[in-house]
Amino acid sequence: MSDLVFDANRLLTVKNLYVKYKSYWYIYHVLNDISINVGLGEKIGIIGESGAGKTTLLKSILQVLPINGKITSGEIFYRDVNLLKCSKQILLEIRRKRVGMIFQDPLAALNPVFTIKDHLLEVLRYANETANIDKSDLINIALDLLRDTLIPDPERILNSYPFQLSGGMRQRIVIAMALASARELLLADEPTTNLDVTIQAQILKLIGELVEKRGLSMILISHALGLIRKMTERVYVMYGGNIIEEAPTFKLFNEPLHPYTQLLFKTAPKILEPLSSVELRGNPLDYRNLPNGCVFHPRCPYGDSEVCRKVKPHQVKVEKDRTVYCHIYGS
Amino acid sequence: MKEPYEMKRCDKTILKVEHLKKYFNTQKGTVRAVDDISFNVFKGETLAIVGESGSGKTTTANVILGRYTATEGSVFYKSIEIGSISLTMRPIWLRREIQVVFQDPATSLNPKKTVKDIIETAIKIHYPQLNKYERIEKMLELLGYVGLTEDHLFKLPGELGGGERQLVALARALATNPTLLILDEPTSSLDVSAQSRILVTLLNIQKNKDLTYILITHDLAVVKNISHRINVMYLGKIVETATTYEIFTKALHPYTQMLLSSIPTISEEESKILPKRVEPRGEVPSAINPPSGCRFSSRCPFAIDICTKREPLLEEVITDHFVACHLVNKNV
Repeated sequence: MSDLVFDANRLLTVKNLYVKYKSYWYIYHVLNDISINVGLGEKIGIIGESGAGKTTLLKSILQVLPINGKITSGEIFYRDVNLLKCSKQILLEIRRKRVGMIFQDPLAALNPVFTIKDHLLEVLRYANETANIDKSDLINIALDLLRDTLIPDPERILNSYPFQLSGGMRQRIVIAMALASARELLLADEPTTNLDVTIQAQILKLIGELVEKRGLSMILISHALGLIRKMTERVYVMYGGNIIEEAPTFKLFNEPLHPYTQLLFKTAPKILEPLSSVELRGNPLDYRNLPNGCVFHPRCPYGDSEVCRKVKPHQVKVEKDRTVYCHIYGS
Repeated sequence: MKEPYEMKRCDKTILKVEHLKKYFNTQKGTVRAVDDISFNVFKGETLAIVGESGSGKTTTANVILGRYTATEGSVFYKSIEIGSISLTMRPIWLRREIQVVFQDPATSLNPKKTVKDIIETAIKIHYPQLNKYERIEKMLELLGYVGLTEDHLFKLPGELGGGERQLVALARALATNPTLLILDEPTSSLDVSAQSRILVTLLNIQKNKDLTYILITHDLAVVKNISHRINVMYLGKIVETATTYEIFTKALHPYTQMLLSSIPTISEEESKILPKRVEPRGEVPSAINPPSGCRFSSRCPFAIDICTKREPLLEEVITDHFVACHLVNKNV
């Protein structure tokens, strides 16, 4: 890793990122001008509905976009390395040894014809490429990983196939695989969506503890608001491939500023309050031709003014650590 | 919190499940998916069945729907035994009266058929006397109920958002004028913003048409908002039955407390009202060899000797509050 020059406080910076998907007829503008940054040891959350571009953002960081997806402009810095311009070798090294990703569906992330051992050893082999470790040592590391993720009877699990395990167990395996290569940054893409509430609580606790123990930074994607509140320090809210609000978690949950975030919080089913009948008006976004001006204006309760329809909102710093992209706060 | 729901004893019991058992024979042994459960559903109420996957919620619903027949025990719908009649043998009026909305609208709607085709099929089968124009009229009325418009008629499910698709599935279920609607995880595959729209629609329809709902879910925030009574199931058994208010204010069974304490809350006030004393741990054991005695004993932090030896019975602890737990029942 001698080619990497380290910068002290910032781990990942995404700057003005644009991503497009191409289908046979159309071009889908999925990410538009996304800028985020992740500090060392910081836990970031990204909220948004499905189709807001959350997963695409994570995939573009690792550059594992589907074949029809393309990063058209922007910069992604991992420490000081520009991931979009660096050599293939460095990119592979970052993927194999520094960043790990937990995918959404654990059954789809594991290959049904290979055992858990095969899965873990493959990741570990690349993660410890230069260290000159033989196979029995790798198996020991794999067992340690499984113990870390609180899997009972790891020796037996190591020789079983994914379909023989329960959903919670599979998700633990996927976490173990991600941790094998994540020495600095963990990307978690809705890690608990398919699980029961009790299992979800256990998995989240586990991820939280492991991230803390290993001093990792984390980006957690979810549309479950309660989960983001519990796990993260700072939150980005995404809508239509744009970041529309950024704030420390507790401030956002106390007082959301952007009209979209406010609606999102209002519509979430709560335990204490009765259901609100507020709903988003209008249709879901069409990524082929996004609305002019603010992307949210066709569905925004305050979005009828001239400026919302024509001008794309700029970044407004409301407080020192809070920004919102909305014309309401501009003047 | 909301006003407690007063159980109206005088209300007509619409569905009565008595000692229902459903076993499946597999190569590894008999899976006791539902093992001796009894409960009543009153007309006009929403009964929620909550529990983790593998606790037998969906199996119970499937027996009521007739997709499985009961191994033992009976299901009475308006005092007619229906648990032993399979779906194909059921009379058409019965099929009309019990309808279902499934979890994932993306798979329960045919992607090649328009909304019109999807809803029209149900009307054609159950009301063959209607002509083309009357059918269209009925369809528009149905779409109106669920808050969709005629613009949606000629769209394919793929062109609709997740929430709208679920509304179409709901309109299809309402096409037969059911009295009992089974909702199998109606919101769990939807976004937060779409969830509340479905729930509000469900509440309004229930008010207008006096429908009875059986809501199957593991999302307790949803349950809190729309159901009147809750059955908590664990490994094929009902472990606690009470009104929603009671469950959320004084849950007695350790499993219910575990479920409640694992809800991710979105504000400080919410976390305060939930019990925090039971940390979730372990997973649902296999239903082939359930733990002896109380089935929850393997995960229960308060388990004592008797728990692994004798099975607790569902007993009334407070009025209308039934619990199956040695620790609670002993104290009474």
